[in-house]
Order: sequence, then structure tokens, then C-alpha cells
Amino acid sequence: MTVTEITSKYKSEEILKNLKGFDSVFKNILPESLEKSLSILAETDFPTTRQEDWKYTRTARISNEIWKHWSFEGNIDLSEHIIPELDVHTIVFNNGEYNKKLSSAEKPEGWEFCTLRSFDESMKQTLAKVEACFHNDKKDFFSAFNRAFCNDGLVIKITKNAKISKPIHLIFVQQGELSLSNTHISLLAESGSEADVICSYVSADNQKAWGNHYFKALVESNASLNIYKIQQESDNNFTLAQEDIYQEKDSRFNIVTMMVEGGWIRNNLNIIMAGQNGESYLSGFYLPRNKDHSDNHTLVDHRVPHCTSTELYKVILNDSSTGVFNGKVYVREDAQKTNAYQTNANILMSENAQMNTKPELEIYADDVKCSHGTTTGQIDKNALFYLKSRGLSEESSIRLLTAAFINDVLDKVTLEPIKNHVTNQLIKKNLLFV
Amino acid sequence: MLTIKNLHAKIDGKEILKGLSLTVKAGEVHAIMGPNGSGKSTLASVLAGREDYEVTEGSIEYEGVTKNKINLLDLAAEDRAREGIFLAFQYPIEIPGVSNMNFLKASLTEIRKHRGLEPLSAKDFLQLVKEKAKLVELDGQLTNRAVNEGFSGGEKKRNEIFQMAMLEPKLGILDETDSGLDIDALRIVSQGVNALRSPKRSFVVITHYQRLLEHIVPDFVHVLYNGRIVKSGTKELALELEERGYDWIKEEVNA
Repeated sequence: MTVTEITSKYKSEEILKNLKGFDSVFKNILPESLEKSLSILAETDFPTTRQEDWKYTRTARISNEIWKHWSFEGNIDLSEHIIPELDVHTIVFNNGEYNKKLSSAEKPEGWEFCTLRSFDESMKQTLAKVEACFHNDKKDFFSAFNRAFCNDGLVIKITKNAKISKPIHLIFVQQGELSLSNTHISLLAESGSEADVICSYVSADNQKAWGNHYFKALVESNASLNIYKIQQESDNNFTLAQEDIYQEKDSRFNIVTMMVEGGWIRNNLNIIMAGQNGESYLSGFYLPRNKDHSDNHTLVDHRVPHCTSTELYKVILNDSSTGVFNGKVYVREDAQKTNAYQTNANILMSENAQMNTKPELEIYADDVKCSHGTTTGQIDKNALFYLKSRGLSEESSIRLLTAAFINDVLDKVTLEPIKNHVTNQLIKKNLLFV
Repeated sequence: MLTIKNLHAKIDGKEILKGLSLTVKAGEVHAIMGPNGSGKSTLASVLAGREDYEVTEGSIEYEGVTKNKINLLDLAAEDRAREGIFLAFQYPIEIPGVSNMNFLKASLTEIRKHRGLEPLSAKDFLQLVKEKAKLVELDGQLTNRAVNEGFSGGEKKRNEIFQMAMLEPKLGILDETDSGLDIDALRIVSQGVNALRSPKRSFVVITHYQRLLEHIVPDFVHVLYNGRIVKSGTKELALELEERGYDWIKEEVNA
């Protein structure tokens, strides 16, 4: 087991100083991009609450710690996160490093991949295609940090017209006290292809950990991509997990973000509708407890006409937890006949829970159908009484209503085994009752 | 089985029950009638344990399933249900996402547990569902859906009686079960209730209209007016109310 000390105190300049020895996996793959990231890091800092996008989410608990790179070689028990009755191709990252032993050995069918650490030159074009979709003009600290200190990642290509029968299950495990991991996944779904990707973010030992995970995908014309994101870490985790999706014409993208457990979570989901007749489904539920903080920021950029985006986020906040939902929808001037729907429903279970929700719609086209609705309230007392009048305890009644509340989000998971697995995990955590 | 003495209850600062007294013995069916606003639904809610209502005076003694003398006001709603009280709601709640079957199974398990019984096996449970659903002609399809979701008014009321049949209470409180029902639904609901009548089970049937009582023939009829029971009689009283309305009662009381 090797340990490299990274100190992170108050200002990011200190991090840079102490991380100087670490070689980002992008050093030989995208050196220019890496340089750019390093210079951004020289000019920016951890975001403060004075920045609009970080108004309700504090980063001090991350910047105040000394984070380490831990490399573990032993075995980890991932049985809890294996999805029963689903045949998948598994790829495991342990503290950001690809773990061959725990990953599937067989050759994938209909798709190919390479890790960033063992980069295959034949995947260079694939990586370039995906990178070209996203122009980071903004000087974003976290994405620059991810690039500058990236441990490992993948470049995946789903072959043209391939219908992948076995979902790709990426498991990101974190372990060790104050461990840091940065991963980067680039996925190209070629025209006409269909694929399911499951991303599980888990903790092996409930220790304090910080992970930055970036997932970029180019969904080409007529392709379909489903991402099922299961966040089941510990209340000691700090996780930033970002997806950037670029959709070409006639493509379909569906992502379901499911928070089972986590401490500090910031999810950024950015979708660019760049081709006509594209469809995008963004759904999620989060059930923070105790002192958890769950922040979901979404952005759908309708650049062209005739696309549809549908957002559904449900949140139940317990104890003293806090949550954020910020859903931006841009409909550009030429994006006529856009359909953009956004719904966010939040339930506060205690007086100390707090939710900040902000829909942001900027609509510049004049022939569109856009709606947004956000409600924040308490659990339906009439429904609660109805269940109790049938003999169910208060806890069981609340858990049953929780299941009912997130049911329509869970329905967006079209693969039954995944739905059942997540439901069972929620039952185990006493969050749900069916 | 149920003795209500001088019950006073209020909600949002307004007193609705102003000294209600009622005694129900095992096996009896008591009908409670009265003009709108008299406190009929309040009585049902207070008996079932809805917390919005504050009981300011009086007592309710109940002979439960596991204990003989229960001070009902001491028990939470779920405990009252476990001791054999069932409220058939006037406006049954729709709970999308909660399967009718799962909900009933959980409920039945709780109630059986309280009575020292093991939960039913899946097979036995389904058998029981089939049997009881027949009593109210409730289609198998409906039992597979979410609680009351997309149910018509009549179906919701039948679902209430179906649940009551499944949970086998000692005291069934029907809160205006007949409201919004057409003739057929009324017949079916009544037939379900009648099938559950037994010497060990009592019913408090709250209704505005007499016609339900043609189907569910009561042993006693009480008139609830202005938060108190002002007149009691047998089923003939119901017929008299049907003919004459409530004005003569109001006059009698106010005199």
C-alpha cells in the first residue's frame, strides 16, 4: 500500500504546491488540455458561496482537510453493490485507479474501451470527438482540478448500430482515511447504438473521502444511452459527480440519479441538445438524512428546434439535512418547437431540514412549450393518517409514503433488476418500505 | 363494547362535539344521522384518532381485541386500529405508488402481530384477498393497483369495505359510506357490510340519508345535532327523518 500525502488547506494554491509531484493521467494523452487546467488552477480557488452556482453549497469542509492518494492492492467486498439477476460487464475503480482483478475479464461485445493509464492509441480519435463537444470557456475549479490530478478513467466507444445486451457497470470505490480520487470517463455512442451504463459510487469503509468524477458522452444521431447513477457512499463522503452530454439529432438520453446514501454530494448534469428531434430525460431522487447535503444542478441547453427535455427530481429531507435543486433550461432563439418540462417536488420531514430550489428558464425562442414546477412541503398528513388508521406505525407509514413519492422516478429505470436492487438498498437503510 | 361519555372535541379552536354520549354493545349496528355540520365526521375522526381534533372533555371506553378496558383517548391511531377499530373513510385517499396489496399485507401483518399471530404466507394472503374481494365484487385488477388510484367513487368505497373485511375489526365506523354512490354501488357496499355482521362485531354507521339504512338495517338510530346526540330510536326514527327532515328535531332541541 502506498500513500502520497496531499495537503489541502484553505486555499487551492497550497494544493498545487503539494501535488506538484503527481502526474495526471492526461499528461501524455492531452498535454495541452492539462496545461490549460493547471493554469486555471493557478488563477482560481475553491468556489465560495458568493458564486451563484455555489450559493448554497460550501466547500470549506473539503478545503480544510489533508487528502491523500491511497493505492490499495487487496480485495474489496463489493457484493453489496452487485446487481442481482443482471448480467453486466463490470469495471472497478478503486480510489480512482482501475482495478483489473475486480473487473470483468471477458472481451466486451459491441463496444470497446481502454483505460487512460493504459491508453490505446486507436482510441485517440474517439477521445478527441468527445472532447470537441465541450468547450470549457468557464474557469471552473473542480473540472480543472479533476483534469490536473486525474488518477485514471476510460474511453469507451459503443459501436455503430450495436445494441449492447449487457449493461456496463462502472463501480467507483473509495477507501482509506481521507482518500482522494479523480476519474474521467469519455463515452462515444456511435449512430444507432443502444447502451445502458450503470455508475455506482460506493465507499468500502465509511472513511472520509473526496471524489471528483467526470463523465462526458457524445450521443450520435439515432443513438440511445441510459445512465443509471447509484450514489451509495457514506455520510463521510464528499463527492462531485458531473455528467456532460452532447446529443446529436434523433438521439435519446435518459439518466436517473439515485441517492441512497452520501454525505456531501454535488451533482452537475449538463445536456446540450445539438441535433433536432433529440429527447432527454433527467430524473433523480435524493433522501438526505442527519447532516447530509445533496445538491443537484442541471442544465439543458436547447440549441436547435424540435427537441424535448423532461426533468423530474424528488427530494425528501430528514433531520437537519440540506438540499439544493437548481434546474437551468436555456432555449436558444432558433430552438423553435422546443418542449422543456421540469418538475421538482420536495418534502421536509423535520423543522431543521432545509431545501433551496431554483428553476431557471431562459427562453429566447417564441414557439415553444416550457413548464416548470417546484413544490416544497410536508408529508401528506391525510395519507399518513390513512395508513396509520390501518395499523401501520408512523415509521412504516412514512417509509411507505416515501416509496410512493419516489415511485415515478424509479419507474424511469427501465431495467427491473436495477430498480429492485436500489429499492432493496433503500429498504435496508430504513428509508423505504414496500 | 364502546362507551362514549360527554365527549367534547374541537378543531382549529372551534368546538364541534359538545357533550356527545353513546353506548354501543357487541353485535349492534348504530346509525348516526344528522344535518350538515352537526359533527358526524368529527365523531368518526375522533374515534379513529385523528390528531387534528382536540378532545377537551369526556371519555371513551372500548373493549379491544387484546385488552378488555381501554381508554381509547390514550391510544394513537395505529394502536386503535390494532385493537380492532376500523374507519371506512368518507373520502378515501388516493396514494399513487403504494400498491393496494403491499399496503394491505403490511397492515394485516401489523394487526396480526398485535394479536400474537404470525403473518400470513403469500399463498394464504392471496387466498384471503380473493375471498374478501368477492364480498364487494372488487375486481382482481383493482387490488393490483395503487391504493385508490384511478378508482371511481364507488370503487373507492368498495375498497374501504374490502379492507375492513380483510382486517376483521371489532368496531367498524362507516363515515358516510353511502355518499356519492349510485344504486348498484350502494347495494354492493351494503352487502359487504352485512356479510361482516356478527355477534362479536359492532358498527357505527354515519349517514345523512335514510336509504343506506334500508340495506344496512340498524338496531338503533341516533340523531346528532349541534355536537350532541339529541334523539335516539330504532329504524323507524330514520324513516321519520326521511319524511320530515331535521327541522322538527332542531325545534324540539331549541325549545
